[in-house]
Amino acid sequence: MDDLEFRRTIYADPHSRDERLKQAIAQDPAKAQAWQEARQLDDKLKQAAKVPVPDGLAQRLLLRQSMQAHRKQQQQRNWFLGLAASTVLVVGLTFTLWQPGQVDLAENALAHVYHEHKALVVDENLSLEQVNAKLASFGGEFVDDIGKIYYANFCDFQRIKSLHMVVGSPQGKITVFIVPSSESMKFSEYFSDQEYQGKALNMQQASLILVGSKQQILTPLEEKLKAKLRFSA
Amino acid sequence: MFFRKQSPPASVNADMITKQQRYEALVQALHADIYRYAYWLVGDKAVAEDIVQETFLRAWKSLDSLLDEKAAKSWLITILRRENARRFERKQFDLVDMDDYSLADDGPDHDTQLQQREIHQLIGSLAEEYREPLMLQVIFGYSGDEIAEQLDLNKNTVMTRLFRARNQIKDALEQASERRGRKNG
Repeated sequence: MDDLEFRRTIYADPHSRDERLKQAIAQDPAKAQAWQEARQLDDKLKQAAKVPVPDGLAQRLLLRQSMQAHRKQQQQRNWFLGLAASTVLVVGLTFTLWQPGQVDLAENALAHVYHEHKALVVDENLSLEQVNAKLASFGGEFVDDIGKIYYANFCDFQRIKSLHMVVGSPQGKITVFIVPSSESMKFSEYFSDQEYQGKALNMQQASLILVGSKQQILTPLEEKLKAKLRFSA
Repeated sequence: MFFRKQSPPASVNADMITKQQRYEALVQALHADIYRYAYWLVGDKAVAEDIVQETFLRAWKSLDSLLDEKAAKSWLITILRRENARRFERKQFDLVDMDDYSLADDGPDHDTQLQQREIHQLIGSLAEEYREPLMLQVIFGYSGDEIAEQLDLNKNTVMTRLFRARNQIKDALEQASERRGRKNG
């Protein structure tokens, strides 16, 4: 290692572990001296570079971060509250705006059949009086026996209180809805989906809706109910 | 949609706690050296602290991507240098004028302190391209290879700059002591 390379090495990195540097130092006392001085200078540089760190810098760094995180959380919370508020608003508006909208009888009838599937399973074996008691709230009554009544309960056709029944027939159980007439009803005489078919009959004061499976013939029961259902004026 | 929202906050909070702990560890371990490096980069205590604040805030935001301390250190240095460069884009500063640190009464003896002060000024008067690699080596104990990687230079360039930096300081110190020698003699 020549002089220039030696000097370059000890000034570029006084703590170099280069083997050739070690040899040069071992062989030449002058180089050992120079190396020693270079390391002393480096110690001084380290001392000088260690400028005092401002008091409390670490705490200020942590504080600033936690403020920032807090602000962010707050913003997120506000954002969430905003979302919640506007959701409530939208839901509310939807309800009020939909209210005067049309009630699709067919769609509702099918939805109720699916939703209250238990109605097709239970057997409450209701008497005609019990059913008439319910019908009375619409001003209606069955004037004569309509056969076996498995189920009868009020249900909600988009805010219109209606009667949901399951009635026995030679065709098997058939679901019957009696929905008081309202101005905003969308009425379709025949309707169906993959599983069920339905038939609706407008009786002025109320609609009579029958829903059964695709194999069932609904007309006989419809005729029978129509004949026995009376509404007081 | 609304019901699903209920469980995540708990785990998010848990993540926040460990993230917080990692951040605190990072600050404690590195803030002093990062501040010193910033100081030598900008030559002003207040500006250095500002840049360090910015740097650590950025670190917080990207903490998840920092895997170990070594990577964090090099990452912080990179951010710090970028912040410093941005400062220069905003405003063209005059020549960097290093803050003077006053002499403490209870420090090392007066001569040593005087020399420390001299060296402090000499480091400050080095060209930035010399001062930066020198500080990476002296403050962070970086090797030539690490400095080369950090500053995106080749290693020979780095070694040359380190050599010149120390050489300049040594020459200046010798000249100063000669002047003192003549005065005293």
